[in-house]
Parts: sequence; C-alpha cells; structure tokens
Amino acid sequence: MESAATLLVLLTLAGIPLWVLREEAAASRVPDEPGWHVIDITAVAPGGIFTFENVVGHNYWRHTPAVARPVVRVGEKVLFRLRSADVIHGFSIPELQVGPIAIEPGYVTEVRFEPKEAGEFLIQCVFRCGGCHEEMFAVLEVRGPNGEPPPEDMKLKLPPRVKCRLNRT
Amino acid sequence: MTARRVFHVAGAVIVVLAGAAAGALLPSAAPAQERRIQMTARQYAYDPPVLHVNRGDTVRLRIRSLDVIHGFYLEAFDIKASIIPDSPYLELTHPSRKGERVEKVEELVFVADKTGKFRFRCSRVCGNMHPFMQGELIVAPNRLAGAGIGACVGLLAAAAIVALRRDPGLS
Amino acid sequence: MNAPQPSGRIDLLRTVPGLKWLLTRRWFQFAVVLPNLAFFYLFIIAGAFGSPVGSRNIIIIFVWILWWFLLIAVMVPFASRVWCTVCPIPFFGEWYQRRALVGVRVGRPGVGRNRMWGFNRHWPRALSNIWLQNLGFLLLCTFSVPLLTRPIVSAIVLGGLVLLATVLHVIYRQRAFCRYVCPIGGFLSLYSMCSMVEVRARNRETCDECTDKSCLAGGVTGWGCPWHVYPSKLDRNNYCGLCMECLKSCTHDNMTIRARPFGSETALKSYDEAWKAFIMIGLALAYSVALLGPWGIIKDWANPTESGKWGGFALYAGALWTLTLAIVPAAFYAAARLGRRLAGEPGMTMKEAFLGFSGVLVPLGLAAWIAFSIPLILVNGSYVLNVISDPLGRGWDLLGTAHTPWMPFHPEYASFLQLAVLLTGLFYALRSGWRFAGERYGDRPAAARAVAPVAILSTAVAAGFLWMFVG
Repeated sequence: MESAATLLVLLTLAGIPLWVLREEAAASRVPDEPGWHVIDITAVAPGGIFTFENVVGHNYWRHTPAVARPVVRVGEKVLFRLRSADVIHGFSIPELQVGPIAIEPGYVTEVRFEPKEAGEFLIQCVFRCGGCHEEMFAVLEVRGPNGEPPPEDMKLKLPPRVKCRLNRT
Repeated sequence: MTARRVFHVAGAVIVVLAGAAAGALLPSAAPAQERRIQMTARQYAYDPPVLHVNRGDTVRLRIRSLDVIHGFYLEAFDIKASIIPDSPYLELTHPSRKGERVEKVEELVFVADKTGKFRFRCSRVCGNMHPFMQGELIVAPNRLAGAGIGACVGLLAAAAIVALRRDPGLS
Repeated sequence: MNAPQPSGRIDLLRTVPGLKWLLTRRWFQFAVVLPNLAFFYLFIIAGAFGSPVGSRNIIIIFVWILWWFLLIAVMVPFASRVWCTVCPIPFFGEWYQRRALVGVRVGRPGVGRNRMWGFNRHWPRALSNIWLQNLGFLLLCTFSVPLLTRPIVSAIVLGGLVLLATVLHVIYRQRAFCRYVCPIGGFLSLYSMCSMVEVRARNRETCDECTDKSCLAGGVTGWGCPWHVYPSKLDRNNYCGLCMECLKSCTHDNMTIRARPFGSETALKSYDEAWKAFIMIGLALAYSVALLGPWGIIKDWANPTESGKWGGFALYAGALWTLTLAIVPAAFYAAARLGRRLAGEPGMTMKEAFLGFSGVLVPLGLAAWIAFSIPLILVNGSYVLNVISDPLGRGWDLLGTAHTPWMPFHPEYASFLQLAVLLTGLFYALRSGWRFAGERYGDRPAAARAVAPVAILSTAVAAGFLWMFVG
C-alpha cells in the first residue's frame, strides 16, 4: 500500500501541471473551422498597454509588458482573443469597424474580422480604464495578400506618450 | 429541574420582549418624500458611502464614475446597474428578470419600501478591491437593528435574573 | 488530572457505524490529505500563472471565500481542528520524518518507539506557546488586502507555509510547525474549545494501568501523537489536531472521539491564549470596518500598494496592532479587575480573573467571525461556479459554468443570520463568564458581582458588532 500511495503522490505532483498545460492548450485551439490567424492580446491598465505577453499572477505587478504590434494580411481570417489583466477595457479599430467591444477581466473575448485593405490602423481602448486610458493605443499592420508592406501613405505613427511613458523592466 | 426550565423560558421571553420593545419604540419615519441623490463611484468606494432615507421615500439616484467602469447592485431592491465613465447613462437591469434587455437610464428610481440596512455593491470588476467596494442604504426606522440591540440587552438582563435568583444549588 | 468524566458526551466511535473502522485505517489520513494537496498545488499554479484578477482565480475564491467560510462556520464549531486532519501543508515534512505515507516504523533513532528521520530537535521552550502564531496571524492580517485580492500573494503565502513547514519538520520533532508556527493553527486552537467534538481517553483507570503509553511513545500500530500532546491526559481541544494517530497507537483501544455540547470549554490557561482571543476579536472588528464597511478612505489605507497612501497604512496598521494588543486586553483586564473588586472576597488572583473572564471571548469571537463571514459567502459564493470551470481565469470552461453571472444569494437575509449568530455567541459568552465566576465564588451574589463588568462588556461588544452589521 505504501508504494501505491507514493505512486499517487508522484502522479499528483506531475499530473496537475501537465493537466493545466493540456487544458490551456485545448482552450487556445480554435474550434470549428481551421485557418484562422489567432492573435492573443492582453490589456493592462497600468501603462495603458495592449500586449502579446502573457500577463499573469507572477508578472503583473512587477513587469511592464511590451506594446503589441499585430501584423496580419489582407484576406486572412483574423481572430483576436482578448483578455484583460485587471479592469474592463475596450477594444476598437474604428477605421475597420472592429468593435467597440468590452474586454471582461478573467474571460476571453473573441473578435473576428477579415481585413480588406492594407495599411496601419489604430487600435484603441474605449472604456476608461485608469490614468493611462487616453494613451492606450496600438497599431495594427495589415500587409498585402502576399505579405507586401502597406503603402507609405497608409502608415500610422502613434503620438508619443506624455503621461504614461513606458519604462520597461 | 422544572424550576430551572421555567427560569430558562422566562429568560428567553424577556429577551424577545426586550428586543421587540426596543424595535417597536423607534419613532415612525417622517412622511415619504422624494430624494435626489448625486453619487460618485471610484476605486473602491462610493461617495456618499452611506445613504439615509425614510421608509416610503422615492429615491432618485444619479451616479457618476470618477475612473473606470463600476457597477451598482442594490440588494433587496432588484437593481443592478453599470456606471460607464464619460456617459450620462446608467445601464440598468433587474436581476430577478431573466433575459432582460439593458435599459439606459439617467437616474435610478426606486421606492424605499423596506426598512433596515441594505448594501449596494460594485458589480463590474473594477480592480483589486472590487469585491470590497460597497456602500450602505439605511432606511429608517431600522427596526431590526433596534430589535437586535434590545435583544442583546435583554439577554444580559435575563442572565442577571438567572444569576441572582435565590434558589441554591442550581447553576 | 483524573477528573470525573463530564456528562453529555456521546462516544462517536461506538455509536456511529463504520466510523471507528474508517478512522483506524492507516490509509485514512493519506486519503483525506491527498486531494487537498492536489488542490493546493492547483491553487499555487493558478496564483502564479493565472489571471491576476482575484475574483477570477481559484486560489482567491476557494481559499478566502469557500474554505474560510467552511472553516469558521462549519468545521470549527462542529468538528474542532478537523482542518488539521486534512491539511496538506505538513505533508512533505511528515513524509520526510516518517519515510512512510501509510505505514508505521519502529526503531531508533527517532521519537519514542518510532523511527523518525530528521534532527528531531525539541522545539525551544521559550517558543512553546502560541505567541509566534499570534504575531504571524496579526502580520498576515495587516497585509490582508494584497493577500485576499492578489492571487500571487496568496500563492506565495501558501507555498511559503509549505516550505516553512517542511524545513521545520526536518529540524524539529513531529508537528512543530502545526503546533507552534502555523497562523491558522493559532486561532483554530482557541476556537476549537467551543467545538462539538473532542478526542479523549475513554477510561482513566485503563490509562493508569497502561505501561507502554503507546499513545505518546508510539508503537507498532501507530505513531506517537505528533502534536506534542499526551493523549491519555488530554482534557482540552486546543492542541489536538485530530490526526487520529492515538486512536491507532493505543494498545488498549482506549482513545475515542466524543460529541459534546457547543461551548463546553472556555478556560484560557495562559497569556498567549488570552491575547489570541483579543487579537481575533479586534481583527473581526477591523475587518468589518475596513473590508465590509463603506468607507473608502480606510480601504485606501489598507491598500497602500495601489493607493500610495503609506502614511494612512501606517495609521491603519498602528491602529490594528494597538487595538488588538493593548486596547482590547486593557478593557478585559479592567472588567476582570473591577469584577474581582466588586465581589468583595479574594476568590482568585488577578491573573486567574483576567484569564478566566477573557474566556468569554472564545464563543463571542467565534460568533463575530461567523457573522462577518456570512455576507462574504452569500455575496461571492457564485464565483465558485466560475472558477471550477476556469480555475486560472484563462478562458477555459471545463464544466460549462465559467460564464455564470455573479449572483449574490439573498444577501438581504444576512442581517437576520448575523443577528442570530451574535445573540448565540453572546449567550455562550455570558454563560461562560457566569460558570467561571460560579466556580470561584461559592456565594451567588458575589459571583454575580464578579461577572457583571465582563458581562456588560461582552454585551457591549456583541451590540457593537450588531450595530456594524445591521444598524
């Protein structure tokens, strides 16, 4: 019985993290049709940041994530999986009529769209989420169907941050 | 044994009577009036934190958020609203009605037809201390509180009577 | 110590079918601890790698909403330190000491007859009390806001306790961490005195005639009591962790579990226990004001890492420590002193009066904490449904309940429940004070005078809590 008990403990110690990884992978897979370009974005209120990084318990309070710059192509089926690490954020790409949609903390909010024209477009947060809300932007780069960079006149430069400069740790 | 039982029952009766008496002695509320209250919500409190109204008052509540999206869930009055910053509207639903559409209102209106202390809580995740963001609506006369305090005093009185009775040998 | 057996006790091992069989299985403890070990492991993973949003993370919801409520409102009043029976924190340390999960080892070196690994040092005499637990719990509670709202903090604390327990159990003998260091154990020891079960020796004569004292020294059938308690002489619940080892070790089948009325013991034996009572009632007050109260400024002070109000935090922490360590004790000291003087005859020493009358805080404090916990579970209980489907708050949906909307469960009825609980606590408090005075003063009027100040103070405390919750 002792060896059975020991085996159970070892199975638990190994099994729990493996199970967590498995469920995480399962939840990340897109059901239904294949062929979606999935982009995971997390919204973070301190600093007003849309990021690709995984913002979780151990890094939320000590690390400023990098601002995301999603890159897609014309004709792709794009699926944004949006998370919030703290409060209710908004997500909107006004020029492409994507959103506005509220990102609830602790859930995954999905937004699907198919870009039709190349260019750089502004992603903004549309629900006031804190002191850095007014400077919470990101740029979505839409390349041509074969990966050509967007034309010069469609490029976008974000205004420099004044209140919420990002000093990355 | 029976004498002991009698005294225990007498003690309980005294407790109840004292509590009820205290509750009943609270003066009845002033005549119902209409109250307009402006409230702000911030991380993590409402201002004013405590609302005092009388029974029967019609309360018209306007709430404004100073920072992020907050909620307003008032227990016992079936009110659940979202407070969107920069918007003059509150998004109101009633938790008891299933599948209801959100109603945009400028103010929350309800009649304070129940007495006592009711809490309102934030119902939209607004940050760290969201679960502890709450305020109080006190509808006078708060008979339950009066009865409760009276019951405590009554219990003390009952204990004193039990302690001071003459019969020896009974604990 | 050979006091006559009190009445009103039911021998559960003889009356509940199957219970004795179950509790004497060697695999019982392992079977109940392993699931909790798995849960703790998941919680720590969720705290570190899951959503930083507290209400969407299983560690916050399961530990501070569900487990806390079950502990204070169900486990302690009904089953004493039964949490300690199933707690996974000492698991690794005890596995190391015993080199067994299920079996028993005899031989030397070790403790008593049992072969135990580790240094097996004696716990320092100066710390053989609950002062470390008093201060540890007070420290945790000073930082309760980050602890209760930030998953990573809870993960670090839970993981840290496991690590500390393991290290201490390598160095010291048996459950030194559980007995002298665990912050939860501190208040469990106090409130278990009110509880409705007890582990006791059935028959004192059998113990007197026993020569092997296996309950303490261990033997072939069981380990000696790991709680540094002498089971044969056990007459209080405080330091018995219900590990059921003595039931298995006793070679005369003389240890049992009995059911008893609520509030059977309230006698505090030492200052560390009294201060635990003061700390707990003070914290119940502070939490009711800071966490369940409407005042934002106090919440800001309790939450300095977000509000930046460190000056306010110093004020809040200072008030907390002064209240629990000085003001509440002073009030009870004054009441005990006044009562002793009013009684006229000496009757007892000042220390006896202070400790004895402070015992009223055992049922009263437990009632205050239960009353505090009732709204938390009613309002936030529905989050349990969310996190069982999405423990890490990452968008999973294992059981289909991840999108359950937040549904407070009739929170308006909390007031009635709180009133009932506080009145019950006050009743047992008054009864405890009266019994204590009655034991010391043969003269009824003298006893009544002696207990009067504490009785009034207890009533004021109960009424104060009532006002905070309901008024």
